[in-house]
Amino acid sequence: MAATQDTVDRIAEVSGAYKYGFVTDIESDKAPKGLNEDIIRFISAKKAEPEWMLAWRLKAYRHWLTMTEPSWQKVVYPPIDYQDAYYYAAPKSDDDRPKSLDEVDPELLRTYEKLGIPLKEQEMLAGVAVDAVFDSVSVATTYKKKLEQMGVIFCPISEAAQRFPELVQKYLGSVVPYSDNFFATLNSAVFTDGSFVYVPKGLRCPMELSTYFRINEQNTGQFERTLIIADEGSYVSYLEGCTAPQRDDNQLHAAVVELVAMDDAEIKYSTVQNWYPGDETGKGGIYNFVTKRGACRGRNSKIMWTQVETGSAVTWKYPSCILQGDNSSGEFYSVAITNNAQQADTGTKMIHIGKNTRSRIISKGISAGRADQTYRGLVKVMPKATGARNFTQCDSLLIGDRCGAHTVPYIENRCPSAQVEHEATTSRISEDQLFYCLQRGIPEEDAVALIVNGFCKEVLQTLPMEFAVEAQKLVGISLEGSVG
Amino acid sequence: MSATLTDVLPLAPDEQALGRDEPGWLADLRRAGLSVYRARGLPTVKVEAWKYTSLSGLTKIPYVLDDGGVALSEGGDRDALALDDAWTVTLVNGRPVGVPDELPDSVRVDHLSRLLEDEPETLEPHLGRIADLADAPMGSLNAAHMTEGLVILVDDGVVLDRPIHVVSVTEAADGARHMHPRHFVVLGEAADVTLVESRVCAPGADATLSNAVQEIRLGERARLRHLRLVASGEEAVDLDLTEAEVGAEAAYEAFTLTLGGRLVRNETRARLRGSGAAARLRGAYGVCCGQHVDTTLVVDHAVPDTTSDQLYKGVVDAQGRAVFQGKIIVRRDAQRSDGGQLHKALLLAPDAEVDTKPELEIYADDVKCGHGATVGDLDRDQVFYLMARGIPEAEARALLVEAFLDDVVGAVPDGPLRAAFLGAVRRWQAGRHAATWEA
Repeated sequence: MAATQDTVDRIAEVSGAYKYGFVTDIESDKAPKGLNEDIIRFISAKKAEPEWMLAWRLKAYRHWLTMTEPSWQKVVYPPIDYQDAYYYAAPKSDDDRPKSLDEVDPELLRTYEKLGIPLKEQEMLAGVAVDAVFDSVSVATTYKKKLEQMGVIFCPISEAAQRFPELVQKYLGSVVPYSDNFFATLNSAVFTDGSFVYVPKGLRCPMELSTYFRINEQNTGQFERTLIIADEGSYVSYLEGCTAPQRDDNQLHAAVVELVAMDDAEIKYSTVQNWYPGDETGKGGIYNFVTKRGACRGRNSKIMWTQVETGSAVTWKYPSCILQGDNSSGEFYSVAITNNAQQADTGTKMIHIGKNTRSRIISKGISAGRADQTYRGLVKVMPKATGARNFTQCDSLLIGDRCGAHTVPYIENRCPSAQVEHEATTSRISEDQLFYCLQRGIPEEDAVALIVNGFCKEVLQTLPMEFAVEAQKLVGISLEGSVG
Repeated sequence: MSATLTDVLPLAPDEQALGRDEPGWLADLRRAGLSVYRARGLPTVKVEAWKYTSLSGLTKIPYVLDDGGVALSEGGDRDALALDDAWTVTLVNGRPVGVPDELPDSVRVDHLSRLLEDEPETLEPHLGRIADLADAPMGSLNAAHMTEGLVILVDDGVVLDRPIHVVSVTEAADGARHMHPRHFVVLGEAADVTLVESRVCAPGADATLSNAVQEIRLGERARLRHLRLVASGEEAVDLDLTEAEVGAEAAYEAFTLTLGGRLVRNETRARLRGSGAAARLRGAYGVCCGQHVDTTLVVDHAVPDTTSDQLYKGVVDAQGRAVFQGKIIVRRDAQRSDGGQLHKALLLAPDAEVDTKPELEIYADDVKCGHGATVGDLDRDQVFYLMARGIPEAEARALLVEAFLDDVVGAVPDGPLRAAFLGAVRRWQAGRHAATWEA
């Protein structure tokens, strides 16, 4: 009986409306609509940035004006009017930033509760320091003091630009240059916030660092910029998760994430992305055009990307690794689920430059409803990357006969001693497996969730514990309504 | 005025003269071709389908349109495959010279120009109707220019016991020429034909640009084995687009061995139009010494219950660059499609390059599709094994290369044909030694 009630509740929870579809009513302080040099100066002034940062933003903006929006990706969306969006919005209480959670706007706290991340509980129980980005300004950073004592810097990037300008200036744009691509350049010009992490030499960061992104203000594009530096011999695991409230206007999210791993350092970057995907017909929803790139600068360094992508109307994202240091390695694990009218063009790039560099790509795509999904990945081996090794596996699962699953790997090898392997399959849920579950009294939707979770297991198990549980639930929820 | 146009758009025909004195449908075809080419121009790496092969360098060569009038030169054996038992027809710069004697009445081999002039109604249902060139700038350019080529029409139920061998020779002319041959193969229901094609080059006839389009239509239960040897000249640019439309229960089986040419692109598209249709695209290539060989395959599963299989193997030696782009499309509702694709490349030298893009585009759920791709060097253990048995390294490596290609070359049906292709591989290997190992 309890189980039945649970199912009923769960379906009611998800089938009607997007679970996290609510708009928090907080007055916000925003710049006028549109994009021009004045807005960029305004953002920079608001953040009290050093002069060089403003110059960098303006350089990016001027370059952006010369660029055209890319069209090679396999997604379709109406043209974006970049002048019809707000580029800066901050919660009102900017002046007197809260020093502890008790001072945080209760409205905000309730929002987080609805999202299922009670900050207080997390702080006490999970031992996770949370740098919560609500719209564009970080309002609560926990455990910061504790981390600072160990020499770990974990703060909003705007704060870092003031407190550690030499570090930020040295690494900002060193992995994703301001001129990199249309959306990254736009981000460079107008980014409003994001996280900055520096882990000093030889330190294993004792806790998972986590940021909860959340788009809240109507028509506010979010342009986060995250920069993580792991110095020699250090280790850090970073978690990123997103949900967004329901609304009808499409929203652009063009973030940039840069990772730098020095000798023997390791960075693990995990994402669970659940932006609002639009309604059943595809109306509304977030455009997620993200540039994520990590540089394995040092010997034996390692960068690992794990992503679970279930949201957004349109996703365009290729977390990449530049394997510069000898013996460095890059890994990419991805689960992407698209349902209804969602579109995703996602994958990775592995650029082998150093000797004996290794990379591994495991991509699992699940497409349901009328969704279209593309895996697009590049493996490039430069002539000097002797002994390089790559293994790529991308599997697609189709649920229903109206959806599409595409695989577009690019393999460019210029080194004879490199070994590059690629495998891909496309299939649907085996009827035998489904029948087996049904026969044992498991309802069809649960059976599909079970089988899909099995299909994704290789990826999900690379997530940190607390994310893995959430991700498994998300897999089930994302596919509701796709069978039967 | 036309000079300016040529500056902007190299290789384009004069628009004013286009389609003059020709039936309306043909003139329309030419104009449509020119407008596609004009809209897209010479493909550059910014065009996804040409990502790894840029033709922008062609603007540097002052090509003039080949106007015929070049005769087959004396001496020298042009028939690289040396097939005795075949109906042979020779093309010079894309233009047929005579037709084979003693062909059965049910098989017609003719010149495109003759049909265009005397009986365009025979061509109308096929010409430009098989290949969809709207996304192919070079194919469209061919449509604008085409005047000559080979037409092969085979009646229902005809089973040929000997292959038809097309020897396509490039001969020297004054200056660099560009040519746009258009070939046709139409097989009636249950016809069964083996078509062998060798593209070779006369000495001194290097700087040519051949931009060919082949249209193939297979009726129900027809079967075409299409075997090709591409051994173009050292400076030749050889672009070929072959589109096969495969009817119900019919089979298109292609094998392409590419060994020569400065810049070669073999684009093969198979459209499976009827239930039970099958496409089997196989090939091998050997690339070295500044060559660029591009293999682009598209298999389109347009209806349910069709099968396809792509298997390509290649060897790339010093300064060679190979490109493999293979695509399997499964259309909406094309359920129970079975598509496989495998590309394996050997990279033998540090300055060689292989770019692979195996692509799946799938819109139906009850399908079995997969692809695999590997790139690597020869297995060191295998080389060591042979050397330990007293075989010199160069020979051991050549042996292993031959064994590597044997999956595809060895699968060519019919003994003499297989031997002919193997002979071509061995000649290439011998040349490769001279080019790289003894240097």
